[in-house]
Amino acid sequence: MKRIITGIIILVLMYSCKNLPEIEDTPLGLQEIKDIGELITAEYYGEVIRSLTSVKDSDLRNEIQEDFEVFQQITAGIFEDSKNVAAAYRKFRREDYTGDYRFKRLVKISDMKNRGMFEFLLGEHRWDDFQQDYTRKINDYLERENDMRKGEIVYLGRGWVKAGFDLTSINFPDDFFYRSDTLYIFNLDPIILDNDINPWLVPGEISGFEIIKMEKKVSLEEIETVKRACKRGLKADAIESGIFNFAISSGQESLEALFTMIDLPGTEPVTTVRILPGKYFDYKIEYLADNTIDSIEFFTVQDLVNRDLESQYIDTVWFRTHSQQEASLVKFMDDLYRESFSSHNYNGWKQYYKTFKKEIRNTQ
Amino acid sequence: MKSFRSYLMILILVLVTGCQIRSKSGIVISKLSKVSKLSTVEVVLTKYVYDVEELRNWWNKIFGKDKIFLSRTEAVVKFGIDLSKIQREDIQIRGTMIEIELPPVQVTNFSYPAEDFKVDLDVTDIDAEKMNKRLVQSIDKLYQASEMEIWRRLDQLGIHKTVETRTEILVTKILENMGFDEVYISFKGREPFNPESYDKFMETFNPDDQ
Repeated sequence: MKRIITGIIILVLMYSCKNLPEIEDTPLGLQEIKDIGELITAEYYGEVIRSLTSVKDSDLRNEIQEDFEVFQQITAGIFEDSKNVAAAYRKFRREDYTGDYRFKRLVKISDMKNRGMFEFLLGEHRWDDFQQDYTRKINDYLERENDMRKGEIVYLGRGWVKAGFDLTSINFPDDFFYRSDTLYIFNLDPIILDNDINPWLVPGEISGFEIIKMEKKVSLEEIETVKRACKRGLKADAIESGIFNFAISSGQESLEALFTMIDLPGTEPVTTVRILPGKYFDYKIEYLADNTIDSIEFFTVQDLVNRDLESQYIDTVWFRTHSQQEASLVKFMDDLYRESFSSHNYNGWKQYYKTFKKEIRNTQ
Repeated sequence: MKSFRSYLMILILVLVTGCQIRSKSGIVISKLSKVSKLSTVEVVLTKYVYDVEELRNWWNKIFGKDKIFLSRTEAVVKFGIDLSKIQREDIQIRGTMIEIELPPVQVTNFSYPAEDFKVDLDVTDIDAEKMNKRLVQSIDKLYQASEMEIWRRLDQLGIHKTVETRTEILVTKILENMGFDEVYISFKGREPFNPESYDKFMETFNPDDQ
């Protein structure tokens, strides 16, 4: 008996000690080596929790918003070519838009009739109005969709976000300016350089991803979706905690520390360093704090674009040539578009960005 | 009977405390910290994760049936130097000539994004549409094993020299832009590539205290 129990103990010990599987020995391939020049000045380590349900809800909401905006344009286009609303609706039906699954879904969610939905889209209504008027119905729809999908997985992710500067973007010596003991570096925006949740936070010690709840079965794709959402959430947390401004002050400090040791030829010893981000940086940080472009932000962006694209106008505080100004504006718009992934964007923001890009391509 | 009870107690103890991953209560997380690191080289590494055992359930184990898992994974590793380690005595300046001894090159970021790996579903013995918790955990463990493997092999890649050369080129270029005519760079020896998060968390997390 004793021997059997000892055997069981040894077996359990061996089994429970085997924390990691031994995978087959496959080669490690070196695929690419690239030169970069990144100065990391701020690190954010954090934890984030995301569930499949919350991710799916937000994706679906985005999808419905996109449908709403697409159909708003379609109805407006049709109305423009028609005499009145009745004629426009007849044309809308003739072209079988009422049979489109996206339109059908909007009708289904709102419980309106086809004609009612058509007129709602034609009216002055925005996505925000629709969302407000039909909050409960949209939520019911999302719930029904979630019920159809049975599995659930909740991940806890631990990882990091690193921010700093891309040194290759510095324009030597134009962006450098010395005044007595201060070095000013212009047009240097702090950016997110790395955003990772790896299998391990600390290899062999602390896991990066941990399942904290799982029900029934999920697909591989759904797991990947939740992991991606964790990473996005971590990045949003880092931005909210002020990683950009922290990166600037930390960058200034670390350069000051270096310059106390290095006396630059032809200048007075540098004791203070000031990093001054580009023209659009403040807008970017403020607008993207919630990953959303709201109505006030949308109109300010429109004003900015209209003025700065004007061929005669150069904001000489920041730029020397119009092409510099345009390139900077395009980069700003790209960043805004990429990061405004929330489902509460102002109606028409996405379309506005696409038109802006088209215009830029046409002028080039 | 007494000895049976004590054996049972040991068994329970082993099950409860056995070889669990240590408590994480000692670590400090969720904070911003100042750093000063210069990444100069980005390396993309590929590795196939291949395994025939981990996905097996008890039934497969009893009958000795293999369950194949195959996935193409990619790690993006950045290398560079920690600028905060540069001391005054590491720098000599004579007019427009500068001589700097830089700290050893190190890993400045390690990215191994499991959510982007391509599982070969033709070969892998799973139903990718319906996975249970055991399977999901097994796959996460395989990726953890693979990450450990990459860390172990990093030094064998022989890229210390490459990283040093490219770091030298970048630092020289920066210093020349700042007005130096002659730049001489050397390194304070070589150190094995270690995860930086290890240093960060292991300072506050001492396993002996557990």
